[in-house]
Amino acid sequence: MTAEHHEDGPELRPGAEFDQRARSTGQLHVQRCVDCEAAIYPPRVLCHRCGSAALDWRPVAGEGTVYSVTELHSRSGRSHAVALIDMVEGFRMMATVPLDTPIGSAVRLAGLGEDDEVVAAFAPSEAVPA
Amino acid sequence: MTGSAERHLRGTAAIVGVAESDLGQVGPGLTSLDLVGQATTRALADAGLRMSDIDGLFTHSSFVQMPAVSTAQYLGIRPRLMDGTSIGGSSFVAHLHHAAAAIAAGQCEVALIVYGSIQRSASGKLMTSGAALDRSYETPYRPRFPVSSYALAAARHMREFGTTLEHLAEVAVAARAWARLNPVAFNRDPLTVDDVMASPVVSSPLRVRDCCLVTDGGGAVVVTSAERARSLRKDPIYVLGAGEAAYHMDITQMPDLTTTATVDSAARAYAAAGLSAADVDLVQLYDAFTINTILFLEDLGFCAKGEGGAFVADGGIAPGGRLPVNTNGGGLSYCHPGMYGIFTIIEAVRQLRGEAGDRQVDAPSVGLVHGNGGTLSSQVTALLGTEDTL
Repeated sequence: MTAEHHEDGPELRPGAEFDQRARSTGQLHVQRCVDCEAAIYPPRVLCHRCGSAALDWRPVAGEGTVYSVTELHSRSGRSHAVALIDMVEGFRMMATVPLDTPIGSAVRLAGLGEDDEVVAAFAPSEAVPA
Repeated sequence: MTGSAERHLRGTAAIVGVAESDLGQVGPGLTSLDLVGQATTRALADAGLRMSDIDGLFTHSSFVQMPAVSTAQYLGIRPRLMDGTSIGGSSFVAHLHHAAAAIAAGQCEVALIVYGSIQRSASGKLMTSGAALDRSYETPYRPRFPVSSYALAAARHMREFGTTLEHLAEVAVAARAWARLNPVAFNRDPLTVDDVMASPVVSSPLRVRDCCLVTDGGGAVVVTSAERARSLRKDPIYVLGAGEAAYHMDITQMPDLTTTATVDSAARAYAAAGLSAADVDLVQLYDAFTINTILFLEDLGFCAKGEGGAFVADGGIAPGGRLPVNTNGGGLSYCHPGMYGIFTIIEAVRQLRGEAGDRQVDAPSVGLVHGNGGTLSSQVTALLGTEDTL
């Protein structure tokens, strides 16, 4: 099997497809296992729950709850918050939230920034139009 | 007591030599392998063995390539068994688990477990084990590795169980109180709960004094068969049982931030040893951050889930408290050269031999050592005992 063949198969490039779908639609998509329905994040070539290689992509509602959060204070005085978000689809992801967002807050995707990679910014749901 | 497929290994191997290298800030010119060499020479002297007796080598390092091979070259040995298990700071407790099995299987007779690091002299920055070339889905959010991962666990523990900043501070204060009894501890200045609470926040809720030291240092542990151990200089300290577990690598993938895989590593170790938490006289655990001590005391069975804060309160793990924990001062106050796991073994052996000087616990017979790797990721527990525990 040649390298070209692999590059032709987007199902073999889950990380790149995650980025491409987010950038082109402005919405997060994650893989879902066709066999056991598990939501799979971060992207990979198999289901971490049942081992199946039959995966497809689903859009994510962009809604979740803050499972935990930490605020980092740098010497320059600039602070930022890093949270773990439990998404309604049943997976957990790291994301940014505004400072002073407590654990348990209902949050919604407020924007997809661009570093070298897709960066998801969440904010309290009441502050973000559905 | 749960059955264990490893019960037949109980007491078949024993620790016969332990030593540290120079610790703290060793200064320019010394390499990580120089510290490996110092620790090895001293541990062999402690055991009354020679370099040429070593036929099994167990090591891990972030400083050299193929650590077991580089170390064998440096020491001038040609081991017939090499184990470079690299699961972070818990690796060295895993090496002890593997060495006991290898000795019983005849794969080696004298095992050296060794570590050295010049992390403080090199840069003061954390050297992590294994450069990651694959993409991380956490890096773009700029958590500070590894403290933010532990901070997320601490925040969740506080939310679920009412654990307080004062509880976290009690862990650092207890470690310092023990360190003040240890002449080679890095930081022996007095420390109060108020001092910890007044130190700057790094990644909330964790403050500077909730975080381990960054030092240089190395350690070595020599293990052999129980039979050979009885003919050597020191009283053998027997390996009664060990267990390993991991649920995740990245904190994002940790199923429950308040329960670590220690629950499984401890169950496996207790089953192999035929012991429970009630039998343990002292605990040496990997305290990279103050929340570690609280999580591990719960998951090792010394108190119920959520009660770790109350367990450490009011000097609960300080000298004279209800359970001696990290009697050398731990990674928080004694020594933390990147990976701390091997020092849990060294201190437990010294305590069980009765060689711990001013910090000696009264006549212990069972010691528990517990290593942690990554971001609460790999967990390895081992139970060690004196002759009368066999």
